[in-house]
Amino acid sequence: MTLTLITFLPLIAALITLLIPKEQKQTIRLVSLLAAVGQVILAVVIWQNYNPSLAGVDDVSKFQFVERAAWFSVELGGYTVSADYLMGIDGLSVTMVILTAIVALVGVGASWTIEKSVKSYFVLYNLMSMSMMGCFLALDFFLFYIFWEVTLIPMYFLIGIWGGKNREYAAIKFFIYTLVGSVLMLLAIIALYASVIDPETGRNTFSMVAMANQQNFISGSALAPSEGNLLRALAFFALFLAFVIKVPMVPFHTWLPDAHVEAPTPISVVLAGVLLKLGGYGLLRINFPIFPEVFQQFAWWIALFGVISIVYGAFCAIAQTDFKKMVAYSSVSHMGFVLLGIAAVNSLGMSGAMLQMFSHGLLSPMMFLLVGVIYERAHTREMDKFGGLAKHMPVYAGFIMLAFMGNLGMPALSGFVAEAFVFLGAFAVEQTRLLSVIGTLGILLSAAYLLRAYKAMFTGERKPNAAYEVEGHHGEEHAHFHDWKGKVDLDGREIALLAPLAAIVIIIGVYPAPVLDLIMPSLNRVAEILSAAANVAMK
Amino acid sequence: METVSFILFSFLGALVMVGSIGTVWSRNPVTSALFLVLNFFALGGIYLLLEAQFIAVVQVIVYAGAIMVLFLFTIMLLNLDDEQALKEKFDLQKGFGILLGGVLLVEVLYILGLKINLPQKSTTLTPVEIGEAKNIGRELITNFLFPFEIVSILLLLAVVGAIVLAKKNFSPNT
Amino acid sequence: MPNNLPEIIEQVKLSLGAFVPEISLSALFLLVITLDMVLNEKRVVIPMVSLVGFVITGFFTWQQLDMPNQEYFLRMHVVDPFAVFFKFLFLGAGALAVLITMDSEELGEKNVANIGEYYAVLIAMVLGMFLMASASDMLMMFLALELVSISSYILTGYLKHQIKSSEASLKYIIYGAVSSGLMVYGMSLIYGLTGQTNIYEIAKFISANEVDEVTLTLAALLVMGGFGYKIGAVPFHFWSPDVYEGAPTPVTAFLSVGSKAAGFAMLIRFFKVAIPAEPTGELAFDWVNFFALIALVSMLLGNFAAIWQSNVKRMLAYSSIAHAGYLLLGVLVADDLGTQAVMFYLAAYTVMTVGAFYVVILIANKIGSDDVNDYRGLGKRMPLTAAALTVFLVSLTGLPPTVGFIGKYMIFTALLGKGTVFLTLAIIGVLTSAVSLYYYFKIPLNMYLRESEDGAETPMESSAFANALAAFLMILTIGFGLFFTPLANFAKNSVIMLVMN
Repeated sequence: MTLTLITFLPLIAALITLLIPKEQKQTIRLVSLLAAVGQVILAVVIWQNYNPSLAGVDDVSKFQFVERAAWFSVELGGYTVSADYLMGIDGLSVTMVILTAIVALVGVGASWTIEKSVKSYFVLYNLMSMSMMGCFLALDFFLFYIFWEVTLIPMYFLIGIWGGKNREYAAIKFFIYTLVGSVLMLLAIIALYASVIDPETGRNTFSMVAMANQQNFISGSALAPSEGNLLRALAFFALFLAFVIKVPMVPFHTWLPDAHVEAPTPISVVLAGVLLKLGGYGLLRINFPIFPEVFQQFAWWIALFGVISIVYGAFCAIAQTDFKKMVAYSSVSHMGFVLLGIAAVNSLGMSGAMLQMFSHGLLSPMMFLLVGVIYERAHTREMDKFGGLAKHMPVYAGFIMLAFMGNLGMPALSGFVAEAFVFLGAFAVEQTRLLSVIGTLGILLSAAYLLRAYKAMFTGERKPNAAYEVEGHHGEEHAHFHDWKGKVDLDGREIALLAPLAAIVIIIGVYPAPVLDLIMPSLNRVAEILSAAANVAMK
Repeated sequence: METVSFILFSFLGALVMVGSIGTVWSRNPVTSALFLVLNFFALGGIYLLLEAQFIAVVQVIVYAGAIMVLFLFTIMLLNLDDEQALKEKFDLQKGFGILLGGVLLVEVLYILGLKINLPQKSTTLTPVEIGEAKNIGRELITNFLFPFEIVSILLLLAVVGAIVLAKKNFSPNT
Repeated sequence: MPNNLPEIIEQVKLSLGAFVPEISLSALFLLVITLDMVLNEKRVVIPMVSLVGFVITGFFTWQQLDMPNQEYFLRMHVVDPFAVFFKFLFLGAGALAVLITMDSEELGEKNVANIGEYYAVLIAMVLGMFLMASASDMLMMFLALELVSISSYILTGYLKHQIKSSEASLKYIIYGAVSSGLMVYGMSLIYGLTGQTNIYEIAKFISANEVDEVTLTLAALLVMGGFGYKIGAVPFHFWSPDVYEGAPTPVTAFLSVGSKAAGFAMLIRFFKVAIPAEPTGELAFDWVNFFALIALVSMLLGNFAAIWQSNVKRMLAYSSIAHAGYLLLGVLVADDLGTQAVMFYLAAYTVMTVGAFYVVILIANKIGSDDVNDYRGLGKRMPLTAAALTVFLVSLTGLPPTVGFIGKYMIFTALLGKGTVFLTLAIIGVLTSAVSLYYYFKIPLNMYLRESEDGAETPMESSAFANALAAFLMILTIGFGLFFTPLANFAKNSVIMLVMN
């Protein structure tokens, strides 16, 4: 029941919210907060009871907290289509579940200042939160697909109604981009169902777990692993497109800056913290293990596009004057590491990729929260409209420093561990050695844009056209933003949102072992599956 | 016999075509209606050639006679003027129509050029007997009883519809 | 055919037992006409009588489930599960049409003085659809089609004081006359080739004798003209935008689901029975590739042309052309799975399309416009209605968790695994459905993302009955999207069509 509960807790919150009159904004917020706290508690329970020695991936018996119930069984012409309500956790999903719970809670906290149509907002927010969680837990591809698609609709409205000036464009662009990817995935799912049987029941199945084992493919079926089966490559790319649009990989990234810039802060937080991870998770859980030999064939290209994303994203970030846009492009850049790490096909690179997802899932919400803080106060995100802020907002500057350092991979912070693993992993393989060297350029570039941003906004003196005023005598001047009544520096709520994220970033940076313990057995198994296919391909 | 009926058929066929083209072409409604009468008469002649004397008579009496007279009455009562020439423009839709029409024409010509062995229906009646009112009537209420009854519903519906569309709307808006 | 009179009488007597639903509808038709003449208060009584009549007919139809699959009325009328499924669909669509008419201000007391005949014609249309689903003789096919068509013309032009409605009706008549003319010509060619009008006999003749292929192709193309017009597929679609826009909205809703479903019922029966695959697997006329072309063009044209529409009814007209394309995909695979998918999709399409049109009616009742730009700010003013419309549009796009998604899923399942052509069609199908998102979501975009121009936020909720009906359809849309087994199994059991023995 744990997994059902952690998934549908937000749905319950959404239903309760529907019953609350819309004037009682505080009650509505509290209901969502309760649900999110409940999710975190359940995530901790899962974490504590999780047995890291079981690998999962392609063996249902090695999944934990498994819940299984027949969902539907429909006679379609000649054969039966049946899907299960199948949920479970292994090393690939456990960190993502924890991350989702944390980010969803932070998102609720960040939503506290939303005043426009609070009721609708939290209903949609909770629907999105539910479907995100469901994506990471579903092991039945049909169920996964439903959760996957359901994330889109609330997201469209959350960006479209509560977003910035250009929100209509950003919302529909996000929707159509991701939908184009996922409709092709639907075709791949149908073909996979026809080709895979569940070893336990001997019937066709939507189970991703069964699909990850090549022995479960019916020989002679459309997607049977055989020499030169073009359909497999086609299905691989149908899935690949769906996931890399979400990651996002250059050149499918253009929806991301728009969506991020227009989205309200909490939605940016969730988008960067969790939704992008869905892409990486999908690649690791579904795309690559199901078609390992196709993956092997294109591993170098995937690494190449990973590196292109790293470098291109970084260059784009350098060119931005808008703080939020810069952070958005830095997301593109950092998610490129995930692709590079997976494409290395060794446990080092893959654990780096997984760690990077986790680390970026904490750092990017921090960054977007921080952007939100300054935007709320100054109503501008132009970086050259500030200058000298560190003096007036020391706590804020401290968090910024931490987030920037984490992002650019300073040792003792989570970003460093993740990116170092990715590079070491990619460097160890001859195929991706050169690419990994080029990829390091990304770190240099991120140092460049992050430090430049820090310098522009926080050091030196207030710029003449700055968005804030300074009053008082020399030595004891204090800053204020034009119509901002609150505290100039971070207030308690904001610190409460940022501090836990910062703490985890530091802990993992210093001592990544707990996370690694959770993910390694499963990642090793994935690496085995992928390399086995490479060996077959060699022969 | 063969040649005579061929000549007659060609003549009547030409009349049918002239009649239909004239109906569409002429701008004056009365002329249009008269062309339609010509069409109906010629069609009746073709029915006769096919030894369907009953249908031929019905064609002339009902269509050419009763219906067209009503038509002409209506036109004259309403005192319709010559219709205004519509602005013609050659758009995509029209080009598409011409293309389709061309294809259709080619195919029809193809069929005409074919010697198709028509399947013979087994019947004991001679062609002349088939065309008799008595036999048609018998068929209508035996083998074709079902369509016959459905046609009655269709006609009732058409009457209701005609009244609905024709009668004045006594609503405050009009 | 039997020739002696007693035998014929015996057969007709026997057939009457298989004709009870239709008899009940005919009686209802006459009853409503009569009531219209004698009653003073018609606006409540007549719809209620119609609904009760539909329910009774539904009961008789339900009894037909147990009847042997057989031809009746001297091989003119078939009763089989396939026909029964569609009859239920027509009754459902008809009942919904009656319900949404009651709430329409367009057809309200202010605009239309006589509403009695409206329901009578509607019932006649349902009767025509019943006959279409059951017709096994080309003569009956034509008659049934005409019955439906003539009813449609009358209903489309029902708003006599509105020039748009009359214009739509006239256009509909002209296009309808041309396409039924084409169809009759095609049928006469088939009769000329085979000497038969019964589709089973035609099939027998075609498989036993050599038939000139080009002539048969031409004949089938011409027949398709009539069917294509009913289902609204390219290139027989020209009528639909104008008719959808001009007709009273409840009529549009009924036309878009009922007419289309009836057209598909007849089309599937005609092509699957009359032009079957030869023992070699080849078709006497390659209608599969022909349908593939029509489906392709319908999906592309329907979805892309809809992008430029700002009138919601017009937009839904183009969307219905696209949906005809998706449905044809299910027809052209020509197996039971495809037929089942089509039947499921039609049922799904009925729920979501009637729902969408109903909400359009409710909105038009309040704001008096069908233009999407006038929908601004409705999300706040009519929360429930707007939410329902969004759900219907999500379903029309084919996104989970709605019934439209399951319908698309089934269609694409039927297409995959059958070769490259079908795979390509499936890929184009899913991509165009992603395109459709763009125009469908123009409506929620205006309702939720934009404020109304005058900044009005006063709520304008509809009556409790209207809300209940909209909510009911919304729940159906989502409910069948998650738990669709009963409906899918019903469709599965209904693909059984009487075949030649």
